[in-house]
Amino acid sequence: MISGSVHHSSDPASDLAFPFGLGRSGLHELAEARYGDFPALTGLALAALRDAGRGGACLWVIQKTLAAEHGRPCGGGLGHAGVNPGQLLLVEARTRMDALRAVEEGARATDLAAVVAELDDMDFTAARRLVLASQASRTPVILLFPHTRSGATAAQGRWRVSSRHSQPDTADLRAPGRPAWRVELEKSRLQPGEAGRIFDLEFRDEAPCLRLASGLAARPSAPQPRRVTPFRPHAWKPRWQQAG
Amino acid sequence: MRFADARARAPGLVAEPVDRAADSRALKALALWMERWSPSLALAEDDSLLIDTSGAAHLFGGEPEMLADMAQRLEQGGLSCRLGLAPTPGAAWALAHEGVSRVCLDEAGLRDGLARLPISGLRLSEETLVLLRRFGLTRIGQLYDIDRRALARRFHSRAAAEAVLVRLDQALGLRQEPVDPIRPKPDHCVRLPCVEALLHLDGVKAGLERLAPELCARLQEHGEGARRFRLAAFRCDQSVVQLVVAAARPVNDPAHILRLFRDRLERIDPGFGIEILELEAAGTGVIRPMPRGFGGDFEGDETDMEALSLLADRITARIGDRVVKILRPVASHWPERSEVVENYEGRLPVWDQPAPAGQAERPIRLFERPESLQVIAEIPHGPPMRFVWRRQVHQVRFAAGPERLSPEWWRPVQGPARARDYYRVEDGEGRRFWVFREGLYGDGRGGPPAWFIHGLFA
Repeated sequence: MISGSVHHSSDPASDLAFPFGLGRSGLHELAEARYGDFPALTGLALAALRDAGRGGACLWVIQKTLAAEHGRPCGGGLGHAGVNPGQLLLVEARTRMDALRAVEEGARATDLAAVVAELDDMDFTAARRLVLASQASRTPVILLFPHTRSGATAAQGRWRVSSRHSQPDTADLRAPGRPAWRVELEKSRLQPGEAGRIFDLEFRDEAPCLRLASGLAARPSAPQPRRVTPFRPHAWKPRWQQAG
Repeated sequence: MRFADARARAPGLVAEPVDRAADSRALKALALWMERWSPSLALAEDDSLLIDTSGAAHLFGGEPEMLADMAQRLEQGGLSCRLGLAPTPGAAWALAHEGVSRVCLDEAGLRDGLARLPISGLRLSEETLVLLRRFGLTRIGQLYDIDRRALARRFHSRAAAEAVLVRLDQALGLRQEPVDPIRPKPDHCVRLPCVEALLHLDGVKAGLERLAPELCARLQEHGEGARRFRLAAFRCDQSVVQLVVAAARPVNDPAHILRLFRDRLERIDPGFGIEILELEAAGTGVIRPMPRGFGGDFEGDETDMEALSLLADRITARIGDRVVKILRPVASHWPERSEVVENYEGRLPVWDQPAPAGQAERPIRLFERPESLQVIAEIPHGPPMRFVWRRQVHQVRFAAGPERLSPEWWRPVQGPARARDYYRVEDGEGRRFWVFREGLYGDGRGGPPAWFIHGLFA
């Protein structure tokens, strides 16, 4: 079932493959697919940060109205996701304008691991400003938006994220398994041809923690019909027997 | 005289209600402006200001010259004033209220100078004054020679007699009088008197660019930095505009201070011109180099603490105070108390990793207070089967738990303390929730248990 592997290196060429620089460079938007997908955004952002592996503190800007709706980031949960909550600097902004100011200051700083911000909306000019600041300082910026986010953006990409059924835990079949998300690359400036592709992702504890649950990422962008192999228990042989 | 009678005599009389609160605010604003003569000021009464000018008079050419300067500047602003200067607060008050304006008394002339003033200059209550006048005592000097015990005996209450003696001693400097300044004295202060009043922000900016290095040089001499800086602009119309910026850690870098003031500088309205610029430093502390990296269990902890605190200062300067926070772990298993959101003070907290043994996974987003749920469960002590949250029905597909957390009995709580059973559940759409049941059936601590949602998983 799993055939894709995600390459991890710091050279810019790797930004052309999944996850297209998310958490590594530039400005990226994550938006809810439907109301209630905000924790999925949070999880995806954290996983991308962990995969990017940039050292240093992370600036996390919260617009207070959103925190009341979706709760605040929880240190214990961040620790479970493998991100050090001690390296987190939270900014609680009352208005969108205040939040954008804080994000801009963060995007200009050169020694942050990343800037993550939860905003209700943003106009094109503000996005462009942030892109320029982020390019100059090489600090990646991830913006989390509610499902109402739409329209043009200056960001490098916009991802639509929704929660997906988890594979049940192998130890306890009644328990929810590892977090899983369905992610659609809605817009992309780096790879416009990739826009509209859907990735099924799963979070796992070891590095890299973002795993493609389907083999789509390794394949070229042209859609290919998926070959469904029926499961035939009697035809199956262990690999060493096949070789022999 | 009633107002109707007064208007009958002077038809042009205008009446306005007294606004004590506004008067008091105006006096406080004036007090800030009076700091141009001395940094130590107190509000003495509803209508009086007390300025401690010790060591300040020579800057203005002597005491009479300073009083003349004050009177002239106040009159320019259309304020009438009565000034008195004396070695003690009590004597200065008496001079200002009962004497000829602008009288200066020194130590030697204090006793004689006060002798001719009426006793109402002693800050006594009206009843006491009436009583003293009945005794034929109308001047302060008449009190000097009276035997103290004899004076005390004439009052029916001991407190009234004490008040007279205390006020007399305070005026003569025989007894110390505490003064409560409106603002603590700054640790360091530099000021720039402008030859011509500044009318534009460019001038203020240039002035600040001269003051900041001067202040920082002084801080560096002491090997210190400061966490609060206050820029005060004294305008010609008897008012002060002030800006305060705060730093997360003590700093003494002029460039950083200028940067913090930069975005706020436009809030200064020069009005009719700014005569004096003053920059103060408060909250001083020794600057210690920060260790790089705490060596936690996480990789990549090479955070530059200094750069981070400077970034926090810039954000604070642009948005407002107390917006930059950290998550600090607390030694408690109770979810509401296990971590607190605190103001960032230049230090990052250290989190132990991994999480305590036996602790189940924590959600990625946590609600400040748990939200109530309506739940249907298969068995009373089991996980929910279906629940309604924010008017939406969620069908539970997977559930893990319970993780039972007992309340901290060593802490005072309101109401009966009930244990909580936390479950990690996933609904039909793949969303994962952290829900708990407060209490158990038949635990004898209130009615049936209630369900809440406390967090969301990724």
